[in-house]
Amino acid sequence: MEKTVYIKKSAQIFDAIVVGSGITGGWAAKELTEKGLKTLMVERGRPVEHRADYVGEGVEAWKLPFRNAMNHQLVEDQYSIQRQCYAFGDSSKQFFMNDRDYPYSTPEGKPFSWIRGNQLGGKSLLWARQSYRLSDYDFNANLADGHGVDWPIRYKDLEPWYSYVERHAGISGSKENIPVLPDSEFLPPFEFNNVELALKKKMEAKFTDRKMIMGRCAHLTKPEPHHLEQGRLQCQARSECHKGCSFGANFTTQSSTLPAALKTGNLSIATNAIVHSVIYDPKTNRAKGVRIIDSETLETREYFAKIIFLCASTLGTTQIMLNSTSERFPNGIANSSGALGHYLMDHLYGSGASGRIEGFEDEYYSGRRPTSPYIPNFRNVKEKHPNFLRGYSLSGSASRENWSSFANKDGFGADFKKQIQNAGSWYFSLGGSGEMLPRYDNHVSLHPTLKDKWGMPQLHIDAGFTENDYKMNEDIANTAAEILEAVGAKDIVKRVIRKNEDRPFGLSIHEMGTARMGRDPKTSVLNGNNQTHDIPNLFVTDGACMTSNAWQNPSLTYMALTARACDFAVKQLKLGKL
Amino acid sequence: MPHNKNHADSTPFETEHPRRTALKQMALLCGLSLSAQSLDVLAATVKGTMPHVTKFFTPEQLQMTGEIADLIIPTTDTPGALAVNVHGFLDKYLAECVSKDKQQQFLAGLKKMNSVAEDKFNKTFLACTHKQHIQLLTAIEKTDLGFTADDKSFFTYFKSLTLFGYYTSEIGATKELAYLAIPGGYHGNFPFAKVGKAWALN
Repeated sequence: MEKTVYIKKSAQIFDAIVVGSGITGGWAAKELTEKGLKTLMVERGRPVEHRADYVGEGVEAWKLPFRNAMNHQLVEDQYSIQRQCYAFGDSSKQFFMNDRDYPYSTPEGKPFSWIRGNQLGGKSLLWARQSYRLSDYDFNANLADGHGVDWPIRYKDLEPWYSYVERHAGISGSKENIPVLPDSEFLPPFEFNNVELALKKKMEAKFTDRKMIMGRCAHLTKPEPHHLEQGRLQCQARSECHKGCSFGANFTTQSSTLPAALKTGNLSIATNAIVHSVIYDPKTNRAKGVRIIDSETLETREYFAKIIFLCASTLGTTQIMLNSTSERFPNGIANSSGALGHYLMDHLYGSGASGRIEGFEDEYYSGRRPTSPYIPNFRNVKEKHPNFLRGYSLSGSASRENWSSFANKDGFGADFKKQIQNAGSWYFSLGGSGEMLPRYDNHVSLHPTLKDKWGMPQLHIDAGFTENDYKMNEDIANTAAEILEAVGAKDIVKRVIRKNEDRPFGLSIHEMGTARMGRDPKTSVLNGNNQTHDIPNLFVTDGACMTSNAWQNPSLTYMALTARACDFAVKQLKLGKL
Repeated sequence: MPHNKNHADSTPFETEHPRRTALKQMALLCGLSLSAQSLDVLAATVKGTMPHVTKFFTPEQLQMTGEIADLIIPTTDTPGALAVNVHGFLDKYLAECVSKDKQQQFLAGLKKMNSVAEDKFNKTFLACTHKQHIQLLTAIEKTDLGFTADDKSFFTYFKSLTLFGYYTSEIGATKELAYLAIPGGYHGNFPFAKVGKAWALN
């Protein structure tokens, strides 16, 4: 990347400021710059160059000091939360935030795990890359059962934008015509293995309301010319995604949106710039810019622009907005509704079941597939479930036990070694991803006294599960076990999340909803174009905008909402309305 | 239980210079040619008779860990745990990567194995014969000979660390198992016979 792209001080009034550089920040920067706007991307963390800074990539376990494990004290002191993320390890730790530097508080008995990236590219470098469209079942959900406010948009509003972002990002999957899960613009899907195919056939014959499809993910299974042109290559099935992918085979800011934005010549980037607050001009009722704290020098600076996109992650954006106070907005900018910080949601993960599959000893697979079979939601679609509202997906794969499974088996010696070499039994596991209801009580606020080392007020996160969640968890485990039993699995083990401590809120890393979209400015922060009801030139397009959380992985929807909001904003700007 | 005594009895442990054999194999795999003298030096090092700077274990504990690890993953047609220095890795790993509780659990487990060896055979674990070692490991898995459920969970932990140390070593991953750094794609219709052994990375 050319050095001149990076700026420190600037008196320039940009056309647009984008706060954050993750999935939505990258998309906003791409869209705004491609539409001709001089855009400044403001990132709290350090710069990360595609390829050059993927220091953990391709390093074999035996070349790492502790084979991807880490010093115990270091982890305790600096990564006590981040370590809970499945993707955290010695080779990927550089893409996780240091917990010691970014403290937050939670009430007793209500843990919240806030997993954060702290670099250019944000969590786009860490995400699980599962990519699914929402449907009108989801956009109608709040209206239908009265929980939360109605979405101000419907599927038809977002449909062309899903297609638009999918073509650029590259989403692999199969056309299925499933009403609850509209098809995307697809690259070829990853393959099932033979055991999965056998189980899929059995399950679909037994349960006519359920379908097992290949998980849709942002990987280039067969790159198209425009991907190759960007320097993106085919996925090699290494499953090293979280260390950075030099093939550019998965969607990240670095592989996909940043090169596009840079190509326009309209992008500037300020890194190590922690946004403290949005600057508000009461005379014009516009956001004028942002105040930042330089994370290296502790200096404060201001950047100015005509429009501002907040894409700093759900809670990052919310923290900035709550900290942007003025006479007009004493409780946070664009918060005349009082909804800011409330209705925090995450997905219900952790419940499910697994079982052993007999036979198939002659079968195996080659490569480490970065996705797995997926059963889209079938609950509360046609019939109402007696115990809970909303739905869930199930996902999981069939694989053979590897060496790590053998510690729990009796035996040792040459035969034991041989058994490991011959690979173990097949296992099939299914885990749920469940929808949560938007609740006012699940909320974040600024701590009245505590600040971090840069002087930002800390976030206090107060979120917990409810009966609806626990009953859904129960059904996820029972249903997963029922499916496993129907396909002939043995030794079925169920897992049910029954309390906050079993699996903290937030650990699904799908936190969303704290600056929700809605039709009524009295009960929501954003309108149907991700524009704040209160301030015309202030937009929020990250997960904070979500009115309900559906059961699908959300990032693809964030991308589509961002591209759509950018289109709206630029048109409005040109009409002189912002 | 899957362990087969007859097979185990014929491992190089019962031969005259098992460690020399293991080291020779390792050296061959690494493309080194070692003199008889340097083999002896290396063998002595792993046996613990050479001064060995440890971070966590006493020399005796290091040696005992090496013996037990090698009973779990012995040298066969590929080098075993001792030959790839799993015990050396565990010395570093236990010193740095685990909690104090886990460290204590590990050391208490070694101590217990020694005390059962003393009770049963009137000698330290290290002084026991290969057959006695196998009796002791079998007993700890069956919570026999005074071994408790806690002792068994120590052994499960020991085994998980041994497997971790061995199968993430270069030899464990690439010689004993099949290692494919860049698979090039995912193939779901893939007969086991095509690779003939388990992947190091699943």
